[in-house]
Amino acid sequence: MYIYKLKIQNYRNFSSLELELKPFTLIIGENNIGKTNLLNAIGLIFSQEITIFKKRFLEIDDLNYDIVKSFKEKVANTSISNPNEIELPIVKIEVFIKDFTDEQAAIVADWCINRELTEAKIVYEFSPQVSFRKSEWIQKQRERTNLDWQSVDFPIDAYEYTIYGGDDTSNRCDMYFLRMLKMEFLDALRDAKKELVANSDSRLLYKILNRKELSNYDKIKDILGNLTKELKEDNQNLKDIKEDVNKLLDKVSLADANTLNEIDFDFTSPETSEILKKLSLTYGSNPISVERNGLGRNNLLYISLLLSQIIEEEEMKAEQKIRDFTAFRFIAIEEPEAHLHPNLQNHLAENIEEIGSGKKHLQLILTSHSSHITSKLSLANTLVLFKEGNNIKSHYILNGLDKEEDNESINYLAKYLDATKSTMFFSRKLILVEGIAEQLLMPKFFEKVTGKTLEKENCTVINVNGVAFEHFLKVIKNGFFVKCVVFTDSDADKQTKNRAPELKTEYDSNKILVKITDKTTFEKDLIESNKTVTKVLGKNKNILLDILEKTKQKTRTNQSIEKYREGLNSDIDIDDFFTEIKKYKSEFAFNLLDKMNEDLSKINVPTYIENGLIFLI
Amino acid sequence: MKAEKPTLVIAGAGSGKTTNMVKKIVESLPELEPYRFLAAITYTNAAANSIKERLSQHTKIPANVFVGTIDAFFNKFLILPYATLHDITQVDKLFIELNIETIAKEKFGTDFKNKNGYKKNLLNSLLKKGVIPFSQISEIAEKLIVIKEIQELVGKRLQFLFVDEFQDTNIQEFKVFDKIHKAEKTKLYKVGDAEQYIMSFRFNLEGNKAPLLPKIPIIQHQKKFNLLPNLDNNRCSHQITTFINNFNTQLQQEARFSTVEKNGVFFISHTDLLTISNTFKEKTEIWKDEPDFKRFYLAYSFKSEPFKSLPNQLGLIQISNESKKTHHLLSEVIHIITKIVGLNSKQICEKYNINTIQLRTLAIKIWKKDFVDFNEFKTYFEQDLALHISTEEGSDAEKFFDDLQNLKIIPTIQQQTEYTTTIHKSKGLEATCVLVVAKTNNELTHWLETDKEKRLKDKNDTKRLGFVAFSRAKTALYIACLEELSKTNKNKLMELKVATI
Repeated sequence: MYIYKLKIQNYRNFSSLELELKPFTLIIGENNIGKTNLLNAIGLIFSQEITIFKKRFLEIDDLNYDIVKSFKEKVANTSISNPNEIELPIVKIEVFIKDFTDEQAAIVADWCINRELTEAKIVYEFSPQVSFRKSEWIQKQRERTNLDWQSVDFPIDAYEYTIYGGDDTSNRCDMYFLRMLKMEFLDALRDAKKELVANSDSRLLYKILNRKELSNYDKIKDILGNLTKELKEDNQNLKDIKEDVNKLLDKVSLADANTLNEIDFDFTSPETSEILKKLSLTYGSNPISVERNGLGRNNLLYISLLLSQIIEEEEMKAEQKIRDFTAFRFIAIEEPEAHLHPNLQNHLAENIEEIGSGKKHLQLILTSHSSHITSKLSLANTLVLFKEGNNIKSHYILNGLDKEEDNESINYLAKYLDATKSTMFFSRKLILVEGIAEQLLMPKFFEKVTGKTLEKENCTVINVNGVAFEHFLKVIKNGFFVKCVVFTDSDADKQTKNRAPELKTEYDSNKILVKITDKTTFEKDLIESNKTVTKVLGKNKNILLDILEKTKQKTRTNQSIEKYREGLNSDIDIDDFFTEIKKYKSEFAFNLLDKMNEDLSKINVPTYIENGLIFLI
Repeated sequence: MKAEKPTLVIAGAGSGKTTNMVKKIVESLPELEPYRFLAAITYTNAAANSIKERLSQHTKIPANVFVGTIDAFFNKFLILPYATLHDITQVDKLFIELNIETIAKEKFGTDFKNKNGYKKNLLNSLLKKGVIPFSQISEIAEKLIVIKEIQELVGKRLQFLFVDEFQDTNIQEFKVFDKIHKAEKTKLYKVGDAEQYIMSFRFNLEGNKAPLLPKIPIIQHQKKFNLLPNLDNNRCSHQITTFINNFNTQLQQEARFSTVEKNGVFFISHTDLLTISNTFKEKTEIWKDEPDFKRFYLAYSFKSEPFKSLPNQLGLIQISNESKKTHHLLSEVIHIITKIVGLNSKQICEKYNINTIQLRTLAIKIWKKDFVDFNEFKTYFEQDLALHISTEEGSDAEKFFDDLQNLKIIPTIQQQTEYTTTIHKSKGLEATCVLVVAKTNNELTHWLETDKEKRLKDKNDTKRLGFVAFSRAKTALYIACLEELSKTNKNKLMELKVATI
C-alpha cells in the first residue's frame, strides 16, 4: 500500500495543498517551500516507532499564519456582528492510500472510501471542540480597549485533534489499527553521531537493539553475571580495597540490627536494556568508533542502520503480540546527500530507489537539493514543489508527457540530466541555448538587459549542445516552469533552415518564446550589434577587434591582425570577421566574457537576445 | 428535583421532524459533558445513517454522540455492559437474526402449549451460550432497566436521549425510556407521527398480537409529555396535503408551499405494471428540472411477480437498509462469518488460533472473491479458509450467503433518479414524484379508507401503509392498481377528486 494522494489545509506554510505521491517519490523545491512541513504533516497521522515522535497536538505556530491573521482581523472588526461569519481555522491533513495486501486491507477496511475496500482515507483534523462557545469568546475579545488584530488571542486551548477514517467525522480511527501504520522520518537536522551510540532510550541504535527479541540477549547477561562473581570474589585488588574500607567503617560507624556495616562492589545492573546502552557502533576494518568517523560516513551508517531494520516485511503470527505489528511504513529521508561527497551521492542515489521497489509495506520519500541525487532518480517519480503567488503547488516533471509517445524525449532528458547534473528543476525560468558560447555569455547579457542576476530571478541557462530543444520544451510547456526562452540559430544558409521557424510555430506561447538569430548564427548577430568602428587619433577602434587580437595572440602574429584592423574602411564586415573567429568560437567567447566582466557597457547585446530576455522578465 | 416532562413533538408527514430533531441535537452539543452521552435513536439503519449524515453537515460529531437503531442502543447501553453481570447470559454476546417463532412453528405448528415451552427452552439455552436473537433485545433491555442500580448508571451515562419515529416504540421499549426518564438525569426529546405507525409486523413475527393504534405508547402516554404539535407540511404540495388529510386520524396538516396546475394526485387506469410504470415515468418528465429530482416506485412487497422483476426491467435502484457508508462493510462481512460459523468473533479466534487481524483478513478474502453460487462459496469457506459451517438448529448458511451477496451489490452511479423500495422502508424518505401500486382492489380500498373509526381499528397497518406511501410525494402522486378498478374504488377516487388518466 502507499499514500497516493495528500491534502493539507491550513498547516504551517500550506493554506491549501493537494498532491499525488508514488511508492517512491523524490520531492525537490527551493528552500522554505515546505518540504519538511509536508512530511511532518504525514507524521501527525502515522506514529513513529524508531525515529523522533511527533506530538499530535498542535501549537499556534503550526497553524497557517495567514489564516490565523485573517481570523484575528475578523474578530477585531466589530462591523462583523454575526459570529457565524467568523470561522475558526481548521487544520486538516488527508491521506489517501491504496494498493493493499489482504492483511493491510484488513487493517484499513474501516476507513475505506469505496465498497471494493481498495482505497482508504485517513484524516487528521485539528479543530475547536464542539463545546467551544464562539460567540461568547468573540464578545470577550472585543471588550478590550485598543482592539486591534494583534491584540486578539487565539483560542488554541479550545482545540482538539481527531483522526477519522473515510468522510465521516464520527468514524474515529481505532488506534489499535492505526498504530500498525508507521512513519519513520530522518530529518535534515539528524545528528547521526549521537544516534549511533545507544546510551539512552531515545537513540536510534538503542531502539533498534531493543526491538529484537530480548531473551536472545540472555547469554550476554549470564556472562556478565560471571563477571560480577569475578569482581566480588576473585579479584585481589578489589578484595583488598573492600577489606580496608570495611575495617575503617567499623571504626567510624556503628552497625545496628538492621544494617550490615560492610561495602561490596557490584557490576552495572544486569538489565538487558542497561547492557544495550553500553553498545556503540564501530566501522571499518580497523575498527574506529563512530565518534571518530566523518559526518558523511556517519550519515550513511545512520541511513543504513534504519533501513536495514525496516525493509523486510514482518510476518504476522497469531501468538505474536499484534499490537507491535507493523503493516506499513512510510519512510521519509530529508537530504540523504548530507555531508556526502558527489561520488558517494551518486552511489547512494543509484541504489536507494531499489530498496523499496516491489515492497507493498514500504513507501519511500526523499527530499533533496542535490543535483547529483536528483539526476540519478527516475524523472517520472520526481515531484517539484513551487510557489505561485501565495499558493504552493506541486508538479510531476513528466506530467503531460506520454510514456510511449514521448519515450525518446524522456530518455534523452534523463541522460542529459545525469551527464550534466543540471539544476534546471530547481529553477522556474529557463534559457535554452545551442552551445558553450551562448552559455558563457548569457549571465552577463542577462545582467546588462535586466539589471538583475540570473540567480536572483531563479533562472537557469541550459546548454543543449545542439538543437535538441524539443525534448526540453515538451516538459516545459506543461505546467511547472513560468517562462522559457530559446535562442537558436536560423541556419538560413543550410539545409536545415526550416528547423528554427518550425520550432517557433510549434512552441511559441505565453510561456515559451523561440528567438531566432537575424543572421545565420549567434556570432554573426553578435558581430552585427558591435560592428561599429570608430576612428580615434587615426586608428580604427572596435571592441571586437581587441578581443580578436587577444584570441589570436598565440596563433597569428600581431601584425596580421593589425593589418586587418588598419585595412578597415568602415564598420566590420560580418562575414569577414566571422571567418576570422570561426575556428575559435569558444575562446573568443571567453575573452568577450572577460571584457564584459571588466565593463558591461562595452558590449552590445544582440537584438534577438535582448528581446528574448525582456520576454523572460 | 423533579425531572421536567420529556418533550414530545407530534408532527405529521413532511413537517421536517427529523430536520428539527437534528437541529435540536446540534443545539444541545455545547451543553454535552465530555463524560456523558447524547444518544439519538431511530428504527432502521437507513434512518440512522440519514441522521448521522445530516448531523455531520452541521457539526463535527463528538465521540460521545451515539446515533443508531434502537437495538444498537440497547446493546451498547444496556446489554453489553450489564447482561453478563446480571446473569442473563454468561459469556460474551453474539447477536443473531434468528426467528424462534418460525422454528417453533415448523416443529409444533398450532400446538401452542408445546410450542411455547419449546420457545422458552430454546431461548434459554441460546442465552446461556451468549446468543441473543434480535427479537429478544428489547425484552432483555427491559429486564435490565428495572434494576435500580442499572437505571441510575444508565441515567448518569446519558445526558440526552432523542427518539425519532417514536410511534414505532413498543410497550417494552417505551418502558425502558420511561425508566431512564425516571432516573431524572437524562433530557428526553421524542418525535413521531402516530399515523405512520406501521410496525405491527414486528409483533406478528414474534407470534404476538400488535396493539391497535390508540394503545401504542405515543398515543396512550401522551400525558407524560410536554406536547408540541406541529401542523406544517413542508414536503407535499397543497393538493397532496389536502388529499392525505382525508386519511389522517391524528391531525390535519397545512401545506407550506404554493401549488402549480400540474401538481396533484392521479390514478393511472392501466393494470399492467410495466405500462403503469412507463406512464408514470412519461407523465412526470415535466418535473425533471426540480432540485433533487427523484422518483419512487412503491408497493407493499417486491417479493413476487410482477413486482419482483420490475427493478431490473426499469433499471431502478433498490433503496437498501444497509449502510451507504463503507466503513461498516468489513464488520458486516465478519458478522456474516460469525453467523455462518455460529460463534462470535472472539470464539472464532480462539477456535482457529488466529488473531483479530487474521480474522479480518479472512473477511477481506471473502469480500474480494466472487462466488457463482452457494456451493462454490461453501467449498472456498471450508477448504481454502478452513472454517466450519455451523450445523446448529436454525442456522441457515445459505441465507447468510445471500446476505453477503446482497452486500456485494454495489450501488451504481449516485446521480440516479429512479428508486424503488417497499412502503415500509420508504418511511422517512421523500421523492419529487411517487408511484404507489396496489396489488388488489382490496388493498386499494384499505388505503383509501376515510372513516376515522375504521382506521383506528386497523390491525395490520394496511390502511396506514397507504398513508405512509402517499405522504412520500412532494409534487406529484400517482396511484394504480393491478386489478380492474372496482366500483367502490372508482367512486371513492371520484369522491377524493383524484384525476384518472
